[in-house]
Amino acid sequence: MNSLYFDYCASTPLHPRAYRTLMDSAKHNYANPSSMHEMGFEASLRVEESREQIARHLQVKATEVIFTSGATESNNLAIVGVARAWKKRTGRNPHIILSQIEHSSVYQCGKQLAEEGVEVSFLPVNSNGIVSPVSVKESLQANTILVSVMHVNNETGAVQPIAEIAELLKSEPQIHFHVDGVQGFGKLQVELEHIDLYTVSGHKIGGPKGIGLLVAKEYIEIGPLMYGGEQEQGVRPGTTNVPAVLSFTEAIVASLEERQEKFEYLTTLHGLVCSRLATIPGLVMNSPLPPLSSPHIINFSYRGRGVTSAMMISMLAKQGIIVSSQSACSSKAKLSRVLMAMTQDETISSSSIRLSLHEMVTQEDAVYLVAAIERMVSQLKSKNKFDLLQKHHVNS
Amino acid sequence: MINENGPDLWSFLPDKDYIDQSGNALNLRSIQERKVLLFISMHCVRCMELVPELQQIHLPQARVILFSTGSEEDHKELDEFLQRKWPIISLSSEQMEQDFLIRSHPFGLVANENHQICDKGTVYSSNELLELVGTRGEGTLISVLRNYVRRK
Repeated sequence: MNSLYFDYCASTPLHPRAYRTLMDSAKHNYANPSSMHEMGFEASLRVEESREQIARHLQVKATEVIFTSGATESNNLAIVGVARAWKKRTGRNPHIILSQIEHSSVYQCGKQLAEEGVEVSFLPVNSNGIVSPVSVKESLQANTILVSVMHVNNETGAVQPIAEIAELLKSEPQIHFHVDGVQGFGKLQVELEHIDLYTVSGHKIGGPKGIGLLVAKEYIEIGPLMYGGEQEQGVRPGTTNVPAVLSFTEAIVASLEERQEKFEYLTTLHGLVCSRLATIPGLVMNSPLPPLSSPHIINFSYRGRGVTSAMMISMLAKQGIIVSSQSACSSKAKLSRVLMAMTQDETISSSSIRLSLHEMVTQEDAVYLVAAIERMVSQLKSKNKFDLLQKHHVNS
Repeated sequence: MINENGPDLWSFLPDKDYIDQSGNALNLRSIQERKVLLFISMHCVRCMELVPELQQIHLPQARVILFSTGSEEDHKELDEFLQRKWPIISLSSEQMEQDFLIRSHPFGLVANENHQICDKGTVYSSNELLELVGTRGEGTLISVLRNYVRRK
């Protein structure tokens, strides 16, 4: 049985342009870009050309683009790097503001910094999973140095009001605004003019794994998390992954060039799936409707009989449907922290399914997906749930 | 440091009463034969993939006790599905870690007649469970060598 993949938030296939660049550069640009010889110099030129190309597309300076190993490192650099640098310079503990629904690579930075004495506020969200700019404003303190709010939530697709938050922080130059753009980049339009720190991941946008970037405006002081090299202005030492940088650059350019067309297609798919799922008794739709959510993510829960996300992931897999529940980085947790913040409901938070769409998904695939979910829900109402974990129940 | 899953080999099973799906008290130390303790979570996809395979498996050479994070209602259904062949004990993930140092699922422990852990391992399939109970059990050459390497 062929599988239909609906976990594009976890990872995407390489964009054909990114794939070609990756193969070509892996073959030809293998020299270490920090080496002094001609081949190393050639490799470093390619990296710098990529940096400039990305900077042009994001409308920032090339010196503001820092290549990292991925979004987790970018988020750590933005939050831990900024907080520790400030603490080191002033000898005081800063205050930072995060939301309760951030990806664990942001949320856990807050937890870690709190252990180090940093004051951390975790902002609540409303029932749509959206942070209020008012709550950001009300949480500001004299020692606040950083606010971090994601663009698009990775579990529900809820779009956060980053433009409004950026606007209100514009008059507070001592407070840096970080946006985790992992699920928003290439899906929604983003303006970095009033965003000080911005994270992008390679493999979420058709680039390779093991590469990401942090845009850090030039006036921001960031302390490195690692030591031992001068690469990336000393902020992120370590041999630059040249093929990944070049391929990632292609993925970024392609994402921006194709964004509008993909957005329209994903909106159609989203409408098709959501409108049918919303009619299935027993399902609770957790994602708000567009424009409050990005059209590539649909999250729902099943209320009843102790059915967990893990059971449904397994049941759907028997029908060839590959889905997930929480982010891959949190997938061992019993309850979704994001859904708990939205609903305070353990049943909903332990029985969620996240569908994430991509332009490769056809409308026929979407129809099959909905039919598989309908079949699963219908069987859950009448059969032993453990029976449904067996392969022979697929077509019965 | 990465913590190893499960208790140390040759450590003893806890001397504690657990309650099975029928409400009966069960003390592992009261079972005077080889025991297989299987730990699953209702929130673990690999465990849910394993459950259908458990229906087909028979382990006459050992007493099997299933520890699961499910509710009473879950375990009634699971008991019916497994044709009431094993005791099922409800234990939260936190209790599994506290009592048995189990931090990830699905995981199996094999204990000898003296209630000592003689083998342990992740169990993703019925074949892995059979391997853990059979060829990898106490006294086999592979097990002895593996334990020697672990201690080193």
